[in-house]
Amino acid sequence: MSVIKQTAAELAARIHSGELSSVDVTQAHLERISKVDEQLNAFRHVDADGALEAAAKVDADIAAGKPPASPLAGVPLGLKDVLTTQGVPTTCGSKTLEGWLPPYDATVTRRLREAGVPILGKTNMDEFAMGSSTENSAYGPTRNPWDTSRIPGGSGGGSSAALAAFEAPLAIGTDTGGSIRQPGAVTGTVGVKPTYGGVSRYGLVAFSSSLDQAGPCARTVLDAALLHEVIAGHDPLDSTSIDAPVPPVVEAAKQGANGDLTGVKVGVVTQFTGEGYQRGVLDSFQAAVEQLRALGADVVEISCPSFDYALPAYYLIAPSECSSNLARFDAMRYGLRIGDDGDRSAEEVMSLSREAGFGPEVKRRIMIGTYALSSGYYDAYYGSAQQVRTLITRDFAAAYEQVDVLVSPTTPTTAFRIGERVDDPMAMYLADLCTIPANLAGNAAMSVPSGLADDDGLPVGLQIMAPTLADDRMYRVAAAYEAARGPVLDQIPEL
Amino acid sequence: MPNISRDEVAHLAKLARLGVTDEELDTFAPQLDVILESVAKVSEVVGTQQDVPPTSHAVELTNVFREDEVRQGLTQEQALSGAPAAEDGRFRVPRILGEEQ
Amino acid sequence: MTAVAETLDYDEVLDHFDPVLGLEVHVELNTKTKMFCGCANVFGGEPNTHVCPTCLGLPGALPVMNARGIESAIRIGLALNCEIAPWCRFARKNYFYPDMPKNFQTSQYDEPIAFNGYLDVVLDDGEVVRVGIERAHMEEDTGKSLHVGGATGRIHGAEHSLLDYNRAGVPLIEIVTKPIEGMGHRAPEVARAYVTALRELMLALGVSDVRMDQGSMRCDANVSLMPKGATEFGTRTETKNVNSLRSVERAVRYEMTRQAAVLRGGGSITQETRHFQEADGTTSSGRPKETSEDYRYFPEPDLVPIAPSREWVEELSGTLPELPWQRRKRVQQEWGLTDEETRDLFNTGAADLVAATVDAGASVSEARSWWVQYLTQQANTREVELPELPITPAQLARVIELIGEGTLTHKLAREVVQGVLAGEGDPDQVIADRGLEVVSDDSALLAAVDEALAAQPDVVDKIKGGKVQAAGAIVGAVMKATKGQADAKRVRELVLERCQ
Repeated sequence: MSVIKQTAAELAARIHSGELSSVDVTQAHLERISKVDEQLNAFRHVDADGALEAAAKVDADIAAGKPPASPLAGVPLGLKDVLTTQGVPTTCGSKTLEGWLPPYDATVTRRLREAGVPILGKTNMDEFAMGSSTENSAYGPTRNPWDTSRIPGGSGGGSSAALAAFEAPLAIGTDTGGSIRQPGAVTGTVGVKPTYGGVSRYGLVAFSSSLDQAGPCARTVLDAALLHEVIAGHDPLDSTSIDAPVPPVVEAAKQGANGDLTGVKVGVVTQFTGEGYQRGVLDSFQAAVEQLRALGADVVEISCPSFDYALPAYYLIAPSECSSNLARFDAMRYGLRIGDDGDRSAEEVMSLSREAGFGPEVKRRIMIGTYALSSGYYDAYYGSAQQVRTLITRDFAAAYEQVDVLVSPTTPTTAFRIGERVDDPMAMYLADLCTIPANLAGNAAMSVPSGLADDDGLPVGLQIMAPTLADDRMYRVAAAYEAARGPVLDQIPEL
Repeated sequence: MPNISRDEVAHLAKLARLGVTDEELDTFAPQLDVILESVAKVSEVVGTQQDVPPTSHAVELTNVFREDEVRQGLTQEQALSGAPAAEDGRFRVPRILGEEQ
Repeated sequence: MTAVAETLDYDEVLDHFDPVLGLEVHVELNTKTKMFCGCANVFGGEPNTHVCPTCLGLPGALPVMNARGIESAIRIGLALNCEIAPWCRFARKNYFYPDMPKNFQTSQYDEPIAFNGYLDVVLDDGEVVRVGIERAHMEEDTGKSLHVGGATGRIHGAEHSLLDYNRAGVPLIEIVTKPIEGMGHRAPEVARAYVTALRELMLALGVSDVRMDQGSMRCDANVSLMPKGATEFGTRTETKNVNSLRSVERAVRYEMTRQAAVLRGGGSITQETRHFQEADGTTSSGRPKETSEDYRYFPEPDLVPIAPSREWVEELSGTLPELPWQRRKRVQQEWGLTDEETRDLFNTGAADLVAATVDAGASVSEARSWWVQYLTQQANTREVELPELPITPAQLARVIELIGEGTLTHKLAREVVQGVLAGEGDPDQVIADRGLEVVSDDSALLAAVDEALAAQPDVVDKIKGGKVQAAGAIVGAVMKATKGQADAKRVRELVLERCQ
């Protein structure tokens, strides 16, 4: 099998044994990128030199008989363009940061470097991670390798497309309302949103601080787990980082792969089925639930009534926080500056620069957030949304008293066509219907491929959710399900 | 409650220091109206429930402090590296109209 | 150009109105590092050299609270007799301004760490006024802007501005009083006394340099007037840029007279920010705001709540030093001072110096009299603070010792002190160089006494006739003849001996 189709775990084993060099593996992926990325636009920036240099360092260490820096040392990766990389462009998919070279590394970036993971480049995304299709990137949409007329999900569509197109065996995403899981679902890849606080947010350019969480994207559950353990762990530079051991997700993925879920209690969220869901998605989900039952899981239905209010709560909290987080992009210290003709005031230059630097979705959310935080509306909007957040957390807590994990479809539909929902923000927002509650509660959640929809032949994702810091539980269930289901990506058409 | 007018959108844009064209106002006003109408649902559910404290943070942490110890920062050159304009080691910005607060 | 505002005569203001004050004082903490990042917290320095991704507001950077900053805030709260919040958060105050890197200020809003306290303030005449403290909350400072072009280097008329973020993120405590009412004509004095007391408190706590000239202590004064007998507050103005203790008093007084003139003239007060002009003691209107500010506060999601445990607060309470008013009470008792003497001692800022002089061997009354009277006058003449005078407590103690030994008269002692202040060296050096020792050689004195007696025979007769007090005239003449270097007591003795 060609190098690029192998899993990260396989590549790591072969690199560490000296059978393959990291430089060759990295080179193979760089070649794949130059061959197919023109059709996909998954990468915003390719850092061939940086990646090869890191790969050569790994090879040198191995040749010198040193132990690998991490279980993934030498396996290259695509990094979402929302995490800062010192001296390497970081645009967040926005015009406003075009050409910006951060003077510092995000903690995730630093951990990847320390783990000997060559960073192939920065993957495309919806501007500032706002979107569900990657169409909001200022640098053009990314296309879904399953069908290039369709979206690869968003905001992390670059990362998911890169995985599905074998441009990278691993990628990093960030998930504020589903931006790792939904792209994973619609591209037939694995996407994990760790427990909030599990992975440092330092250097993750904030969209919505209380919801954002970086996480691993991969083609298999084990690969995701391996990457999870590389990037997770307490960081004193992030006040919301949890100072506790990283859940043993690799061990859980290995345990799950034996295919036995006897004694595991699985709850099906009743709010996330029925009207508004694509038939092929529901069928796939039903089959997945049956599969879990067949593996020995004890499946029950669980009602979480407040989940019906998760979407509106999210579309108040996230825009509110973003209206404040994005205020710093004012053309004074960095970023695009427009209209500085020596006559215009700082205030005018700020307005002109922000007008030119931000796309329509970012502007909409900034304005919604500005509205929701205004003194006359705060209680009704932002305040109420935060109370809904409490209700959702309570629903989760009650559910997890009865079951170990919760499951639902990851997204109500398969990948829609590019352009289909651009002018209808509400329709676009529905893509995150099932993924948002876990963000609001800060819980762990992931999407694992559950085959192709029988109505359109496109990938569907199964969402598995687990309580805070019990990320290992969902990995176990996902690995068992994955082992039973078999691969999905082998059915992807050649590009 | 919403029913947001074109003028209100213009006001929001101003508060958020966002230049918007007339054309954008025409597009944004109905879009924001629909979105705000839809999200207003949140006040329905909590309106009926007593004793629901707001949640501002997803994890229940308190007292996360650092020691008062100096940590290496950026050099002046690094600090100014992304500046659209700089002069004498400082960020150069257009004349400021408003007062300091 | 704005026309100079009319003012009403101060006494007339008080015939018609009661002033209400509210003082907001910002204190920069002297922590080693900034509030939310590890950059050094130092005044000045090359521009943009004490900065990092966090205090520059770079995309992706995050804040972490400085433990020492929180501790200082709690200690200040305790010293101000406040309740300490068992749980509180930071919020974001959203507004755009180039000196603020994130375009929001991380500040406490409706959940201050300390609230509902008071500070007892001693006025010049010894009267104690209790000023209520509404709250003391934490926030971060902004960067500094330099306005280039235009005539004055000020913001208006500038062509562009240059920004230095070394100060951005420096921890600030904002201390807000409850409305200060019922002070009548003493309102300006109360304002100054309050800020003075607050400054002393910060120094005693060791939490800030409180240098008003460097901006590490800044005062905003809210002033309003209400017609006598009214219960509802009038519209207030907020005067900023009040950068010395004296200015606090002047600014309040000026605002009272300006507002009174407006109100008496049938006008109404505009709620606005005004700027104090140090040069002429007036205030001027800031730019009217286009829209009313809406800061869109919300809890800072990047910081977690602060929940000081009772044990921690108690521990910090144990670290409070002797506070200024406690010290005042103790010193008054120990030194047996009257209220007035105590007041003068502390108002002149002489207490530490007197204590040090006493430690160096001087008596309390001598040490106190020198520092509070003669040396305070000297400091005033030279326009410096008392501790800045170039004389040490040890030097003064030596002068006092020499007076006690009879080597110096008080008059001579003042000359010695003048010499020390002029940089002529230690007291003994000055005495030697200037030849200032008391003439105590009786034979030299007797000659002078005899000469004086011979010149005024009528006085001699009076003394001999029993009018002993007439000897003063002879003593005076002798002192004059010896240029004051004689010991007057001894001269008197000699005069009386000769006239027996």
